[in-house]
Order: sequence, then C-alpha cells, then structure tokens
Amino acid sequence: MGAYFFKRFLLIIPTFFGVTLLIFSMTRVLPGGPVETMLMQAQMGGDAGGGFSTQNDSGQVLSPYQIEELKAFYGLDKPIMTAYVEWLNKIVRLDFGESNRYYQPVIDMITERLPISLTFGLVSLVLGYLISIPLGIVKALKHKTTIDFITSLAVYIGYVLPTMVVAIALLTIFAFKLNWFPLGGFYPNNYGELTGTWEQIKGIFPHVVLPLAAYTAGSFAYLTMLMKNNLMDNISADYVRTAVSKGLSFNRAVLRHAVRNSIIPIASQLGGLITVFFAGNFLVELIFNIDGIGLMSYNAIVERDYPVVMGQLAITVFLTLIGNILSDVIVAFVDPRVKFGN
Amino acid sequence: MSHSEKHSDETLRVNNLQVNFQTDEGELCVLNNVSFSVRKGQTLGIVGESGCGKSVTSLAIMGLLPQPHGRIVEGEVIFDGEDISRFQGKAIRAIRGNRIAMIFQEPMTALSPIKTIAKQMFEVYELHAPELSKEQWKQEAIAMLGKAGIPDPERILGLYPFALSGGMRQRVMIAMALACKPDVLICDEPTTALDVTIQAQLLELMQSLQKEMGMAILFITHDLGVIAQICDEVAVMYAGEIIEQTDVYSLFESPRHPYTHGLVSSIPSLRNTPKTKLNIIEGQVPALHEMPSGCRFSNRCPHSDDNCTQRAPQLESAATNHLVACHKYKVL
Ligand SMILES: Nc1ncnc2c1ncn2[C@@H]1O[C@H](COP(=O)(O)OP(=O)(O)OP(=O)(O)O)[C@@H](O)[C@H]1O
Ligand SMILES: [Mg+2]
Repeated sequence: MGAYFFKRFLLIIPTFFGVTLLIFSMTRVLPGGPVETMLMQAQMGGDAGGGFSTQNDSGQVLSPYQIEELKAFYGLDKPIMTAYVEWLNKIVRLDFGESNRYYQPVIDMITERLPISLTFGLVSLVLGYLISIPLGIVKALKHKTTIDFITSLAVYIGYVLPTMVVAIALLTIFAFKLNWFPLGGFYPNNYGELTGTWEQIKGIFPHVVLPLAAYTAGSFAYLTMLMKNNLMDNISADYVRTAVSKGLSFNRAVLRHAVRNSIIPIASQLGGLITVFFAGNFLVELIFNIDGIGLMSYNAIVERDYPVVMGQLAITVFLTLIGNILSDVIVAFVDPRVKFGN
Repeated sequence: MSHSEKHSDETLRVNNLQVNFQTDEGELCVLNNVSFSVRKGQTLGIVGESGCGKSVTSLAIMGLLPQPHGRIVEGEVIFDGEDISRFQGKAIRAIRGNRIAMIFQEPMTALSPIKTIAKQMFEVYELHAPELSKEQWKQEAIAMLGKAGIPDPERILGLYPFALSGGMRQRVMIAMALACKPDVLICDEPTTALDVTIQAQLLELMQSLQKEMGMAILFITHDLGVIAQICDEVAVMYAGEIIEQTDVYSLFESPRHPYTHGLVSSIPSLRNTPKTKLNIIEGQVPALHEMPSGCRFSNRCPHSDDNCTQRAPQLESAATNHLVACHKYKVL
C-alpha cells in the first residue's frame, strides 16, 4: 500500500508539468496577450482624450521598440520553453510573481481572498452533506411515499436550475423584496471596527446566508439523489435480507449494513474537497458582489493577467492531484475490499 | 393426512397458505392452498421449477414477504403452537434467526461485503443472546464455525467475506444460521450456486449437523438429485400449488402426478442408453395472470381432458402418506 501511494505521489510531477505547460503555452500563443490588451485600452483612452494624442505616424500608441521593451518587462520575449522553465523555477520555490495589472504579489491576492473561499467552500460542503445524506436515507426508506414525492420536487428544482439562477432568485426575494439580508458583499461596512472573532462572525453571517444557500442548492440535489439511489440498490441486496432474517428490524438492517455500503461511492469523492480552499463560482460572486477567488480568476483571464491565471492554476492543479490521492486513501479506509498494490 | 391430524414431533406446520402479490397485472395469487409440515430432526424438500413459489413459501414463513405488495391472504404458519404469520415487530424478530433460521442461495452476496465475519456473526448473539459477554460470543462463534467445517475459525472471524470462497461463505452462513440452535432451518437452494463437490460436502455437513442438533429442515431446491440425497419427505410444487407430497422413496419409485412423473423420468440415468433423448416436459408454466381455471398443469399434461381443464383437482390421499392433486392418477 505504501509503495502504491509513493508511486501515485511521483505521478503528480509529470501530470503537474503537463497541465501547467499546456496552459502556459496557450497564454503565449492565444491572440490578445497582455501587451495587446494594454495597447488596445491605451488606444481607446487616446481616442476619448481627443487632442491629447501620443500616437506616432503609424497610428500606434507605442513605437515597436517600446512594445519590445514592454514584452521584455512581462517576460514575453523569450521562447515558450525558456519562459516556462523560468516560471516553474519560481513556482517550486513558491514564488508566484506579480500581477500584470495590480503590481501586487499574486500570493497576496490569493491569501486575501482565502477566508471567503474557505467560508463558502467548507460551510456549503458540510451543509450539503448534512442535508443530503440523511435526506437520501429518508427518501430511500420512504420510497414512493408523500415525503419522497415532496422532497423530490425540491431536489428536481435544485437539479435543473443553474446555481446562478438560484442565486438571483434568492437575492430578489430575500434581499430586495423582503429585505431580510444585505444585497451583497462579504464583509460588513463596519468590519474594521468589529473586535473579536465572534463579533466578526456575527457581522459576516447575514452576508453569507444567501450565497451559501445558492452554493448548497447546487450540490444538494446531486448528492441527495446519489445517496438515495445507492441506498436503494443496497436495500434490495441479499445481505440486507440476511440481516433481517437474523432478527434485525428492517430499518436497523438498512442503517447498519446498507447505509455504510452506500456511502462508499460518496466517500470516494471526499478527496476532491481539498479544493474548497479555492472554491468560488464567479457568477455567484458576481451576483452577490463578493470579491472572491472565482471572480479574481475570471477577471485575470479577461484582463490577460497571466501571472494570476498561472498561479491560481498551479495551486488548483496541485490540490486536485493531491485530492485524488486522498480519495483513494479514504476509499481504502472505508472499503476493506480495496487494497492498493499487492 | 388431514390437517387436523396432529403429530407431536411436528415443529412447523403450514396450513392452507395463500399469498397474493399486487402487481401491474393486478393482484396475483402466487401461492394457493399450500399445506405441509416439517418434523423434528427431519428434512422436507420442496421441489419445483423456477418461479413456482418456493422462495415465496420460505419468505412467507419468515414473515419476510416483500412489502408492501406481498401479503398472506389466508392460512396459518403454526410454530410452537402459535400462528406466527400473525406476529409482528418484536414478536416475529425474536423468532427469526433464533428459532427459525434461514440460509440463502447466493453465498457470494448474502454476507455484507464490508463487515468482518466476526461482526456479522456477533450480530446474531447480540440480538438473541445479549446476556452473554463478548468473549462468550467469540467462543460460541468459533465453536459454531468449527462445527460448520471451517478450518482455523479464529482467523476466519477477522476476515472479510471477499477473502473466502463461495463454499466457505456458505459454511459461514450455515454457522450463523445455526448459532442459536434453531428449531427450524430453512434452506433456499443453498447449494445451487456452488460446484458439485462443494455441494456434496455441504449437504453432508447439514445432515450431520441435523443429527447432532435435531433441527427440522425445510430444504428448497429444483434439483431432484439433491432431494434424493438429503430429504425424508418431499413436496412437489407447480405454479404455486403443492401437487404431490410423499416420502422420498415413494416419490422416486412411484410418482403419481404426471408432472412429478415427468420430473423423475427427466433425470438422466446410468441405465439408459447414452445420448438418448431425455424425457423433458413440453411447454411452459403458464403466467400467473393467465392460469387455467382447472388443473394448472392441464395445458402441458399429456393426459388432460375436459374435466382437467375445467375443475381444479384437490390434494387427496393416493396411498398411506402419499398425497396427489390429479383427477387421473388412478388410471395412469
Ligand atoms: N417481489 C415480487 N413481486 C411480484 N412478484 C413476485 C415477487 N417475488 C416473486 N414473485 C413471483 O412469485 C412467483 C414465485 O416466485 P419464487 O421466487 O417463489 O419462485 P421460486 O420457485 O423460488 O423460483 P426460483 O427457483 O427461480 O428461485 C413468481 O412467479 C414470481 O414472478
Ligand atoms: Mg427462489
């Protein structure tokens, strides 16, 4: 088993290289790099400025020489492989570089937003599991009864509506119409004045309820149905019948034997949860005006802020790969049939 | 043998059992007027084609009919002087696995895949012998596994089912079923999924355990060879009814019902010339929703006439301890 996981860890290295090299190359060959984007913006700014033109004869804002300088400044003058190796060299020393746009260390931009991602990621996750697993169990045990039908309605709504639509609906109803919650933002206006963790949590709380509900609605439908269907399969399994014929009541046989078996496929996804550090759907963040990692990444892509894009990507890829291994560890723990290696 | 006739050593008696299932085709009668009894230390075999209602019979006795669509419409299951088919909740659970135990066809799936053999065996003691200590459970389990012919039972206790072969798992199932020294053991095709050698070993094991512990066995199978090896009495089922019932010798020597006759003569015999055509029964069991109104076998019976297709025959005594449900058994 140890050897197996050692191999898996070694495999992280080539996979990480592969994915990052691919995206790195794309940032180089795709049209509209950072310099072009800036030039375009400068041009538009120049036009709007009227007489204040700095344009030269060729109609360009900057001379070819200046453009080369700029490219050199952003490290775009080197061949892809050389630049990639340089980037990699820094990344392995945890140097994420500086944003092209904000001239701020990428790592600072990320850590600044980490509390937001963590809050939403962790809480919606725990909430999702806390709701979905018991609900799935109840639905399986009460299959085709009124409770099952009514909750199915909620599940289907959660399933068909994109998170974004749920977010807008929640905002419209509970913030605009009912005024129960603030319209957006993550930190309250007086956050700076709040002292003590408890006070800060109380301040943030009303701001996170609606986005959290939107996030949870997204995963709850899928998880609930997964749990219910797994359990339904296991309830009709022979070993449940054996348990009942031993003298166990049906419900206890299900809870003792079938539920644990049904949780295995769900547990196998748990490793992926390590990416909660980076959770954040940019649409939800946009709707609720939250300056989180989702929005940051989206803006970085739009603005061709490649150091941010690459930094965020490197971390996500790394966490995902670790998460996959973690999933295997968890499965090996909960399922005695799984033994890795020989 | 009439139903009122009472045997002192009768452990389990099923009287006029009728079981219906609610299906898409409406309410179907899956078991009709089924009666039999099993005696202490004896084995009653129930034999019949797939779908004739053997498993439903055993589930009805255990109170394990699939809910909510399966139900006992009529009849009783007498155990220890009481009709346990009326028992519910705690009352029936105190009997299950304790005084009436069951083993099933598929040893590969009948044990929970993610619990050790110890956990699964201890569950029986936890339910029916909570007064014993955990150490006693362990000693009991080891003794029982040993009796079931499992080598090194202490080690086996710590294993998961996937580490055991099908034959070993079925031995575990037997040990688990016999853990509380039940009065009745119901076996629903316990050896069908296993190869012949293992099957023979397990049948022998069950016979010797029966000698030792004295339980009554209800043995369900579609294999007449198995019946010949292990049973004292045999009930032949066809389409949800018992059509012939007698001791195992009479069944093979002088089957009275044309269906039983067909079954018995379809066994390949060493005396026959090799590669001759086996005597098979033509046609198929009619579906439950299109059962003929008369004898249920009439559409396949070579001897059926108008009387057979219109009037359903009742079980009647053809000889001492030999019941048969056929209008024409006398003339055949
Ligand atoms: N859950 C169920 N719902 C509806 N009908 C059922 C159900 N279980 C069994 N039946 C029907 O009851 C009849 C008897 O089934 P049963 O399982 O007792 O057959 P069997 O004699 O045990 O067959 P086999 O040798 O294949 O195990 C069959 O016609 C079957 O279709
Ligand atoms: Mg069956």
